[in-house]
Amino acid sequence: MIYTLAGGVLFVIGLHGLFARGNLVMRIMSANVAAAGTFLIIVSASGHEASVADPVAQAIVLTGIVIAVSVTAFALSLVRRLDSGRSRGVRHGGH
Amino acid sequence: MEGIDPWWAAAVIVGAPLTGGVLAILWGALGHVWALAATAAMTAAAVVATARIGRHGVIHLALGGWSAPLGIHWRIDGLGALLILTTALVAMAVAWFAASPPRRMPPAFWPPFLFEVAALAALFMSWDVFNVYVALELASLAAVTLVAQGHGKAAVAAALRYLLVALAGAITTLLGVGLLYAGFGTLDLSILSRALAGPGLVGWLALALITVGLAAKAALFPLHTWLPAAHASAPAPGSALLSALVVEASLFVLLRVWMVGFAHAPVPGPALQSLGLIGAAGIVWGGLLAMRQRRLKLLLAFSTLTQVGYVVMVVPLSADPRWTELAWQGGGMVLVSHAFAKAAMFLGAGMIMDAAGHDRLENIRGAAHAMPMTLFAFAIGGINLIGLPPSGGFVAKWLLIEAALNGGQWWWAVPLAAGGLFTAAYLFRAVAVAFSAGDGGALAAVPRRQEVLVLMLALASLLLGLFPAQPLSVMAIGAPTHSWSAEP
Repeated sequence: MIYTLAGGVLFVIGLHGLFARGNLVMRIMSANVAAAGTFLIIVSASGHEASVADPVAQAIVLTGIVIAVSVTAFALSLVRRLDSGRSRGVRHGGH
Repeated sequence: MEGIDPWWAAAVIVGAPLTGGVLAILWGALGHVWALAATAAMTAAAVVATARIGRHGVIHLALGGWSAPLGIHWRIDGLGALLILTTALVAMAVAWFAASPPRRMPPAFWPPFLFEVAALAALFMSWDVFNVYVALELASLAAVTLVAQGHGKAAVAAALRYLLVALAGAITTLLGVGLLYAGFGTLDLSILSRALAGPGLVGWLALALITVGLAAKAALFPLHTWLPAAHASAPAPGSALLSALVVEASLFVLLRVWMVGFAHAPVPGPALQSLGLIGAAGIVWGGLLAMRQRRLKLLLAFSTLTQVGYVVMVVPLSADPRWTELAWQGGGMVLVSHAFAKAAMFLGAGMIMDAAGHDRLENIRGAAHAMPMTLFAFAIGGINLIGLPPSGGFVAKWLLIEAALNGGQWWWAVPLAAGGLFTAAYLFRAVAVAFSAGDGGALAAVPRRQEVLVLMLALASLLLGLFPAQPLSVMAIGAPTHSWSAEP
């Protein structure tokens, strides 16, 4: 239960950061925080027998992690392309 | 055709564009060849699958021989088959368009184009909510890549904004999917539908999360702000695919979750009505903003918001079980006819842009004299978006309004009808400028092959309106009704 709640808190913090932050890299990191919260909820809330880990939930989360990593890499490469002409900082307004 | 195993059809539908995409990475110089071959094979397989469904009903496939709940279940119903066929035909036309010399798209265009098509095809077949999520993610990634290939930094910025919204939507959707699994122990839509007869807090929370997540990806009001820049920034063949099909895929999933997954759940009336309100707001807001646009591609992008609104209307309109099928067919008709019409119009806008060097509305005066066939096709597409007879858009709107009036929800007929007026207002302005007297001679020549392709796409949307009986009866196969969940 405590893991599920912690996951919920991470999800909310991450989603808030994704929209509230100005800095693009920070926004991408926020998305990762939200994703981590989601994974935590899925793993901790699934599996009705406490002693056995639910393999389907783990497969879901594993797939989710792979997708999150590739999306993050792609987003960062776009940020670099966007930034290649500018002299300073990723984007103003963030910190 | 009888003897063909539906397995083969499904394998070719997804496998051909997937293989083509890999080949296009390995042999980039031949990208257009792979794309033409893959989309042709996919179209043939889609015809086979659709014909089979017309004769024998819904196709069920258990991937790897494992049936649900252990394995992943693919299920092609009537609307799914028609959307796959639409995807294949539009993709084939776009591929021919993009392969036309002298403006052939560069090698980098073809892999994301083909992966996009493969992801869409897989999505239209998936009957497993996690499988749907994965397909949606692949579709979003390929779509963002297409946007980023537009001109300059603005395109990259639009792509990044799209990616961040899509990412937020994806994480939210995934949380909803995870909650469904945690609460009900299955990902299969049929089994979920029975379990969700009593959704409880977990079920409702999952529905809310999935709805918000998909709303971001489908650009539902008020989560639509990323769409116009993204769709207008992509190169024309990319825009055609994005506006015609990618947005519709998220909408299709939204319809399935509400109308299949939660078919037996006691969804409260206010939830349905607020979804209708979101649709109505999209129709009006998209129309108002489209009127203010001075660039053709942006105008078309905003008009997509109106069409998205029509489709969302299906959910409240299907609340009365007697009119569920009618609303489903109406929504399906919007999806299919808008796909053809919008693809034609975005490709047409791309040709105008190539010929004039820009797409500013005030400066395309006389374009109709230089490229009459393209502007004619553009006008036909417009008839479809407005919903004038004899187009598919007219049939769609007729069905939706009929469902609204018969189901005792007359108030939804107002935005459905008003959307056509808005659309007419801004499309007439664009067409009037293009047909007015001017020096169309200043425009560069455009390839004849591209003109013919655009016209064929536009005519397809018109044919749907002239001969609606056949597609509508196919859409009814496996449509969500209140007795459908007896299926395996």
